[in-house]
Amino acid sequence: MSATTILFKLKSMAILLAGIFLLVACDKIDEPFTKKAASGGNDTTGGVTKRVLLEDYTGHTCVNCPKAAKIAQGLKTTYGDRLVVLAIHAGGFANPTSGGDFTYDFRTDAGTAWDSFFGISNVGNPNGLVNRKGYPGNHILSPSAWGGAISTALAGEPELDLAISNQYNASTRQLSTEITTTFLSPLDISLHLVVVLTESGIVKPQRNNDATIGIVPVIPDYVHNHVLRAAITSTWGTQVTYAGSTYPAPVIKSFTYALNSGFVPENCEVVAFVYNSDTKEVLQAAEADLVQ
Amino acid sequence: MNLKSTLSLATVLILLSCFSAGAQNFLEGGKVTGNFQLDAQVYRADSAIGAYEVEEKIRMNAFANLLYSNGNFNAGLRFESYLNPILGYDPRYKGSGVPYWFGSWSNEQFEITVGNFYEQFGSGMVLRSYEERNLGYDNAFKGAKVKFTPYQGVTLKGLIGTQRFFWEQGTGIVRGLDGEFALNELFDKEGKCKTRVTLGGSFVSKYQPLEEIMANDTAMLILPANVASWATRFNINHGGFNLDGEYANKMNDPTSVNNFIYKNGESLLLQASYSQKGFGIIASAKRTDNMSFKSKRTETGNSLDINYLPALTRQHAYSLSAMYPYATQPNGEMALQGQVNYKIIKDSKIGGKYGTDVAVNFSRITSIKREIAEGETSIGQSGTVGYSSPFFTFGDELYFQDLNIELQRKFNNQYKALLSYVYLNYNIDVIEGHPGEPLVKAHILIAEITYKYDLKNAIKIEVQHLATKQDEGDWLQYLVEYSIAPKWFFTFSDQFNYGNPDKDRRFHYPTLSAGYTQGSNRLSLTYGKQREGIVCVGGVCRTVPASNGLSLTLTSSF
Repeated sequence: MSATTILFKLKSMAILLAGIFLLVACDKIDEPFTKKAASGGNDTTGGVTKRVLLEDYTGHTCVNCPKAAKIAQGLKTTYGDRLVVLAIHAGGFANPTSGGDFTYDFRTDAGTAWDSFFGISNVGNPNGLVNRKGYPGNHILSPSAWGGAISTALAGEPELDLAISNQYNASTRQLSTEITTTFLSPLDISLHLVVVLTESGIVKPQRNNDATIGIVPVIPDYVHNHVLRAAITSTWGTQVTYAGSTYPAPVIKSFTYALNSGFVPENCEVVAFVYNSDTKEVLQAAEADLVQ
Repeated sequence: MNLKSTLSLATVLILLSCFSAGAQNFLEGGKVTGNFQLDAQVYRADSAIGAYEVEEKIRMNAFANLLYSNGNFNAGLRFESYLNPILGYDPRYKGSGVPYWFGSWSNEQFEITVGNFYEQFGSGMVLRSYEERNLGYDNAFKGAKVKFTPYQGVTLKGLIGTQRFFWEQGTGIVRGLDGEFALNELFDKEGKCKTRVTLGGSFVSKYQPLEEIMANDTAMLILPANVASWATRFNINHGGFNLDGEYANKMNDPTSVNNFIYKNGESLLLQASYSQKGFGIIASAKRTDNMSFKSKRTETGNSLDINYLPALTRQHAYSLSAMYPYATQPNGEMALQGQVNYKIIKDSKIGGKYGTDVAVNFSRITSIKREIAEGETSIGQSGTVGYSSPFFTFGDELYFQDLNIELQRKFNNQYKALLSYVYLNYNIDVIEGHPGEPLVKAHILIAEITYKYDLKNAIKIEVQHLATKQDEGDWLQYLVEYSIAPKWFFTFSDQFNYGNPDKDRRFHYPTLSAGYTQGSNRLSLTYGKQREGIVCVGGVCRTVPASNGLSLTLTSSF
C-alpha cells in the first residue's frame, strides 16, 4: 500500500472515530450554569414527616470544615424540619492543643466511637454521613454530595415516627425526656434508638482557609451550631424492636440527663434517631428544643 | 469477601478446570507465576509523640498476584486482605477478597482483555490507571479493553469500564480511545531516516448519572452527565536528542475538586533531553489548569482518578530530603524542571580513579494566574465559568522550589561516598493545609559512606541534617547499616527533631531493623517510632497518626 493510501485511510479512520466519539460522549453546558432550585416542598404520609439525619464530622483545627458547615447550614435552611444536623467533633482535628486557641474540647465518647467505627477521620475531614446509608463500603460522603443524598433519602416513605417530649428543670439542670416510637409499617427487624444532646450558638475559634466564609487562618468568633455535646443513651443506643416482631406496638422510652454546667440550656436540643441494628441505616430522626 | 468477587473467582477457576478436564493439552505449556507481600504492624501507645491506642493491637495488609500464561492466553487474579488496614491506609479497604482478576487473549493484530485492567494513554494526562499497593492507590478499570494493530506502526486502543472504589465499583463509566502512529515504521520501512517521529491522540469520556448539587442556597447546578477530554502528543528522537510534547483539554467538568466551575481544563507538558556518554541534560515544562478528572463528581480523596498529573520534581530517596514532598495541585500549577548529569572523567584530578557522578537538579512550581472571567464578579465561584487564565503566565504564588546537587564517587573497591545538598522552598499553606504559615525554607545536607571490607561484609553510615527556621525547626538523622551479602542486613537509625521551637516536642524517632533475603524471598522486621503527618488531597485533610511498634514485611515472588 502506498504512503498516500495509508495516510488517507488513517486520516479518515481517525476523523470518523473522533467524530463518533465527540458526538456521543460529551455534554456541553451553555450559560447560565444554574437553575432555581425547587423549594423544599412538604412530604408527609398521613401526617408523618420523613426526617433525614446528616452527620458532619468536623474539628476545630480542620481548615476546610467551615466550608462544610456552611453547606450543612444551607441544607438546613432548604429542608427545615425535614433535616436533622449533627456536628460531630472527632478525630485528629478535634484534639485539643496544648496551648493557644484550641485547648477547648468538643469531643464526646459517642462521637469518637462513631468516628472510629465508620472510619471517617481516617479518610479525612470534612466528610459526613447521611442516614448512615451505604455502610460498610460507600457511606462516607463529601459535603458536596450531601444535598443529593438528602434529597434521595427524603423521597422515601417514613416507616416510623418519633416524638420527643422534654421536661427541663432549670434549677437542678435535670432533663427528663420521653421518646415515643410509632410504627407505620410492618417491621420485623431489630432497631435501636439513640438520643443525644446538641448545642448551637457556641462561639469559639475555628481554623479556616476560605476567605469567603471568614478570616484566614483562624476565625476567632466562629459560631458552632448543632455540636454533639453528649449521648443521653449509650453510644449505640437502646433496642426498641427485635427481629421477628412484626407491626410492633408503639414503644415509649424515658431518659434523664444532668446538663453539664458549661452548656446553655436555651441553645440545646435533644436529637433522637432510630437505626437498623445490622445495617446501621437510620430510618427516622427527630429533634426538639430542650427548653420547650 | 462479597458475593461478586467470590463468583468472579469461581468463574475463573471453573473455566480453568473445564479446560483441564476436556483438553489436557491446554495445561501443558502453561506457566504460573506470581508474587506475594504481607505487611503486619503491632502497635504500642505512645502519648509523647501522639501515638494513640490501637484497639486491634495488630493490623495487617497482604496481597498475592497469580498469573497464568499459556501461549496467547493469559489470566490472573490478585487476592487482597486488610485485617485491619495498617495505619495510614484508607479504612475502607477493611476486609478480604479478589478485587482484581482478568482474562486476555492476544495475537499479532489483536489483544483483548476482559475483567480488571490498567492502561495509560501517552503521559497519562487524560487516562492512566495504575496501582501502587504500598501507597494504597488503585484506580483499576473493570470492563473490556481492546488493542488493535492494523498495520505495523499503528496501534489503536479502546476501553470501557468502571473504576475500583475499595471493594466496590465507582458510579461513573469511562470510555477511551487512543491511537499511536510510529511514522518511521509506516513511511520509512528501510530505516533510512535518522529522525524518529511518533504521533498520538486520545479521547476519553466519562458518564455519571445526574444528581442534585446546589451552587448556593437558591440555585441548583445544571450538570453534564458526560464529560469528554482529548489529548494529542508527539515524540521526536534524533540520536541523543529527544523532544516530547503532549497537550490535553477537558470539557466542562464541575466537581468538588474545582468547586463546581464550568471552565475547560487544559494541560501542556513539554520535555527536551540530550544524552551522550558521560553527560545528560533534561529540561521540562508543564502547565496544568483545572485538570482533575475523576469518574465521580463529589469524590475528594485519592480514589476514582481517571488521569494522572505528574509532579515535575525529583523524588528524593533520603528521609530528610523527602520530608517536604510536593503534591501536584490539579486545579492549577506552572512547573519547570531542569537536570544535568555529568560524569567527571576517571583518572582526572577532580574525578578520582573511577570518575565522579555529578547531578544538578532544579525545579520550580508556581500557581497559575487567575483573573476574573468576562461577565463574572469573582474568581472560582460555583456555578460559573470560574476564572480566566493566560496560558503562558506564571502565577504569583510559589508552591515549591527545589535546587539539589549530588556527588557520588567510588574511591576504590572498598569505599564509596555520596554527598548531597538540597535547598527547598515548600508552601506548607497550600500543600498541607496550614493557612497563614510562612513558606518553609529548608537547607538539607546529606552524607553517606559505604565501606566494604570484604566480599561479604559492608557497612554504610549516613548522616542527614535539615535546617529550617519554619515549621518544626531543625532535624538531624543518622543511620548505620551493616549488611552481610547476600542475605542479611541490620540497620539502626534515629531521627531527632532537636531544633523544634517547642522544647517539649523535641522528639527522637529511633528505629531498629533487620532483614533476611533468600533468593526471591525477603523478610524484614523493624521496631521503632514513626512521626505523624498531615496529608491533604482535594480539600480534605487527614492526619496520619504517629506510631510506635513493630512491623514485619514479607515479600516473595515465584
